[in-house]
Amino acid sequence: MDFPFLYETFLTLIAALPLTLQLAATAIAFGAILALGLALCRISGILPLDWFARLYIFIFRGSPLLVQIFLIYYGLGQFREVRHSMFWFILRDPYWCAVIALMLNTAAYAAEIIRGGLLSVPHGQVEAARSCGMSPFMVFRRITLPLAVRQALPAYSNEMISMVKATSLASIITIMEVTGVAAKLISETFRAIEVFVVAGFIYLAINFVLTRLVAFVEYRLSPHMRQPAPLSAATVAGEIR
Amino acid sequence: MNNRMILAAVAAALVAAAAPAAQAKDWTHVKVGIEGAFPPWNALDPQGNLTGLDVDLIKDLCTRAKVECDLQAGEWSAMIPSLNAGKFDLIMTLGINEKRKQVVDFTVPYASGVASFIVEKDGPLAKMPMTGEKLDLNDKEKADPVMKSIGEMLSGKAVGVVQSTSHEQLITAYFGKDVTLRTYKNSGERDLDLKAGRIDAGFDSGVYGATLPSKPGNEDLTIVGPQLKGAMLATEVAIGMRKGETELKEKLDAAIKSAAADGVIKTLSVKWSKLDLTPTF
Repeated sequence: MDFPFLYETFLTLIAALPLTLQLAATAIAFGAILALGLALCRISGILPLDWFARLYIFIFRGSPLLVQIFLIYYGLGQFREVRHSMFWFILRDPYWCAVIALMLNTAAYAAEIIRGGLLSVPHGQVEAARSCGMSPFMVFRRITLPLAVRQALPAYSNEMISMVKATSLASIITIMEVTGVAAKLISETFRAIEVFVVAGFIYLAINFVLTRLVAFVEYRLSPHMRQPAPLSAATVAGEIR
Repeated sequence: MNNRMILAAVAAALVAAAAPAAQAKDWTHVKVGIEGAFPPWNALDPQGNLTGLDVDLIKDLCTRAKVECDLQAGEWSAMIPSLNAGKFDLIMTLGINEKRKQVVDFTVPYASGVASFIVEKDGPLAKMPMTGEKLDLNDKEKADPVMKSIGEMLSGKAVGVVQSTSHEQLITAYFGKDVTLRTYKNSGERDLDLKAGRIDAGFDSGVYGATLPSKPGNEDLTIVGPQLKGAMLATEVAIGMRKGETELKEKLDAAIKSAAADGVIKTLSVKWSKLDLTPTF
């Protein structure tokens, strides 16, 4: 193993890490909002909304992300009408095309995950909240959503991990994120194995941190699963008095 | 045994295992890698078969070299890694330059081309100097001022090239930070972005450029600036092979020379590119 080369490769690739993280974070954040909307449409009971969400999820979950990126970037750019529209300043930029494609794609998967979470909230909890006099919105905000998030989190962490890895597809529309820079390095050095090993390690490291973060959030969201903290001498003394 | 000794032992074992296999190869069957997305050199027809100058020529060369050739399409940036990994024995359309010589061997060139800029007809770059004239970059006295004025025109603009090409190397070496370099998987995707106005110019093989505007949908594109060769440009197009395959190289060198002498290269290159690309040896 040529360690100086690996180290040099690592330094070059790590410079592209902010772009990869930015792509993943923007796509996941926007995607989550869109997904919540879609999930609410699905369980709304309003037929047109339900069918719109079903169709959306069917299309974006059923076709490859690679094809979606190509269609949004190269496909839309071919139409004169699109090039002269007010959206062109966004669609002209490969970065935003990638964000849009990743966001639309992740929203389809996340919508189903969130819907699963929402449906898993026990009916009794909602009834209890209502009987306390909470408005429907307050029930959703205080009871349904937090419980749904807790239920959906393990499945949703899968989706976040796939999104981090999916950012590598952005390299095909000329974005120089970690994989794009790796491909450039290979074209300069012809040393595919070393470069891809380092690139793979970087994605592994990102996802390691990401899974730890999710585990931490999961821990914070499920105090009911843990042994109650032992009472300290001070509180015990306080209770006796 | 320390780590270094173990590594040495493993390396020795690998060499011992590989060496007889390399010697025993008697080249009756050769796997040829062709990109299939770089017309008129090579392309995929609607049925998915490889066609183009490279395809017609390699068939002729294989007959001359008395080897059976199996043509396979592959992505351009994966060509040299695939060659060195043993997936291909030969790769077509590989321009000769110093950087590539460090990792692969070349046959003698089978075609001699140029490189040029592709822009939109009515864009500001259409007035690039020396359009249609030949310019050898190794003739620094003449070439450097021209490249400097081209550099000024391109300053702040985006230029698209195919990744892992000598065109990419040239833009980086001559214009560096002054231009935004965008790299694509193949020439077709770059042209889509050029037509969409996401980039201001493309830089590619002159032979690719020569046939480009005649294709439907490309009416707005045109070739501008000098027809460049020299420096790091790999305009002498050859067949690439793994280092040390001397026997295969001898066979193909002889085949290319005889094809050039018989006028086959001239006939085929005129058929596909309207230009005589016969190399001089």
